[in-house]
Amino acid sequence: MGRRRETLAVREVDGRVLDPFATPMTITRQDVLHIARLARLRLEDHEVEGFIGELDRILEYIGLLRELDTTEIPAMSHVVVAESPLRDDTVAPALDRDAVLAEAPRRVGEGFAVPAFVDEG
Amino acid sequence: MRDLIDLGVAELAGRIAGGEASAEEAALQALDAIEQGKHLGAFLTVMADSALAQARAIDAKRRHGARLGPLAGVPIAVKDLLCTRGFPTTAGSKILTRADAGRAAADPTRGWRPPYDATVIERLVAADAVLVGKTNLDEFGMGSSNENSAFGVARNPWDPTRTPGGSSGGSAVAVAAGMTPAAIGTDTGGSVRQPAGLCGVVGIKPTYGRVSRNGLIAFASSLDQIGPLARNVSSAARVLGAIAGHDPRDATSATIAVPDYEAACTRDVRGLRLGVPEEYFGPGLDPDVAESVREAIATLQREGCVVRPVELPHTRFGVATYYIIATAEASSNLARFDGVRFGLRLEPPGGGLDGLYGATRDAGFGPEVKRRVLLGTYVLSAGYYDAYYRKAQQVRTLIRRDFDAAFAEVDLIATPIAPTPAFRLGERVADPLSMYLGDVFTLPASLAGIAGLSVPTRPTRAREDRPALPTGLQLLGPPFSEDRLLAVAATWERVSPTHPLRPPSP
Repeated sequence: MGRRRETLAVREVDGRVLDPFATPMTITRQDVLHIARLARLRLEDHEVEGFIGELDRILEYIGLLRELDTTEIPAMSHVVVAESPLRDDTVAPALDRDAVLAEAPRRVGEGFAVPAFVDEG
Repeated sequence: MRDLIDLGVAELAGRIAGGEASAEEAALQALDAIEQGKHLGAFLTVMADSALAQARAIDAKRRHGARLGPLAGVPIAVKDLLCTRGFPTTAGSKILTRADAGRAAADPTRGWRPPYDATVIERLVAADAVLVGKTNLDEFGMGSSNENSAFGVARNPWDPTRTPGGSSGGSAVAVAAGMTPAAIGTDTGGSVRQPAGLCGVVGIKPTYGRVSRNGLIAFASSLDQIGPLARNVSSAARVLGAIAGHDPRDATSATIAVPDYEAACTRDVRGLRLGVPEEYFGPGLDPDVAESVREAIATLQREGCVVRPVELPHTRFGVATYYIIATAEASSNLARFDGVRFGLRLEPPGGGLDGLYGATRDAGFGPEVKRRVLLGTYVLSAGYYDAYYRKAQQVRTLIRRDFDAAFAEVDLIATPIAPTPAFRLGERVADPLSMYLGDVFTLPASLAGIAGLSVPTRPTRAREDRPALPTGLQLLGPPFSEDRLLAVAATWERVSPTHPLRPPSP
């Protein structure tokens, strides 16, 4: 299970339709721009070009999972911790407001400053 | 002089608690060693003044007759992914540093100073450890070579042209180069174990839930764990004992009692069943690494462990599964870095809220973080969720079942820690997938949430294209079996012909 064998696995995926019903996944420029917008990343043009190829190759590799039939397998979202008790609902001091705001890049009075985002026109 | 910081954690703490050595002298030695090793890039912030003040306070406490804690005066380095109140905490990212003249700055002194300490920091201080600084890392813990730090690479003390591994690269370097007797790292997919292996030190990834994550800057919340690195097994055990245990501020931290990990290091291991999965010894494994690890396993067999094969058939799906789940969680966790509450804020005129987010995140995040945020956003997006994210969660179940089945047959599992020794800086940067594939041995245990540990074996032999380099044995055990892993690792260490390891002097 080292690098060499895994690289072979990539080639096996390449050029072989693993699931005849699945659309072959190739990521387009449109896709990258769309997910960048969802992720609130404003990418430079040269970044977009690089990510298309890299993400495509990574997605092709992770397509490996389609080899496995997981129909009856439950999804695992979290490691089950043996016991996680509820804590007592007691009032305790929280962080001091000034301490929290001290490192804000911009503050207004008792809050964090954000640009106006409600169109009042 | 490095006589104090060359000692193991228990021995140093014992001398300081007994008044035979001072915490101040130990802190001075560590600060000097950090200065001498500056070229290795291990530290982002050195806390010289506060370390000396803390050390003097510990010495005064002892003079006044108070009993000191288990880490009395021991200098400890902490990965810069844990919050330290009032001290720069950067996560290795420009997004957590204040803008300089309207631009993102690669300057850790401008780092965000948190209003609180992580629970692990509180526990180290309560145990009378001395915090000497914050160590270099891959940005937000995303990387396997420390090359994704916004503040420069860290270098392997065995060969400075090579990676120390990552993402806890700086912590591994600090310990391997003898700057501190122990350090704290974090492990999401191998980020304590792999750099420990590549630098020739001991590293523990505790069971998910063993150590509180409160105050750890989140990368992938269902995988992240904090763990110690040290030059020998009992030192790592003592630090783990100090930081483990339930914390009401982390709802995923377990209430299970913390055993005496140090005492476990002297436990008899005869009769323990050690499983060896052939999936971890395939053709991609460097033959010299394989030989070194097999020697260690054979030695443990001579020491009375029962060695038998086990199967972990879904191992080869670990990389794909991890890079879906970890990036999905990261894309959500990293949404909080938006230019409003901490660190960098770039506001293009008239850009509004979206302009603030876009400009700040574009200038603040490095390429690997963007790559993972994009991938995570993609696998969670409408139309792809079932094909990728849900599928990966199902395969995660299969990987966990592999381990559950194996642990019905054996008490623990022994594997190599990484397919190769430390690779050259720059070698894998242009090919993110090749970097990901190097994590193949550490990711499955992270996905399963079980206990893991890396302990050095015989370094590979020097050859024309590379010098002698460290490698390691990975021991994996069921949840909350850290004591068992430590017992076996300490047994190996006692008979290992190459312990204690020292990098060649420069």
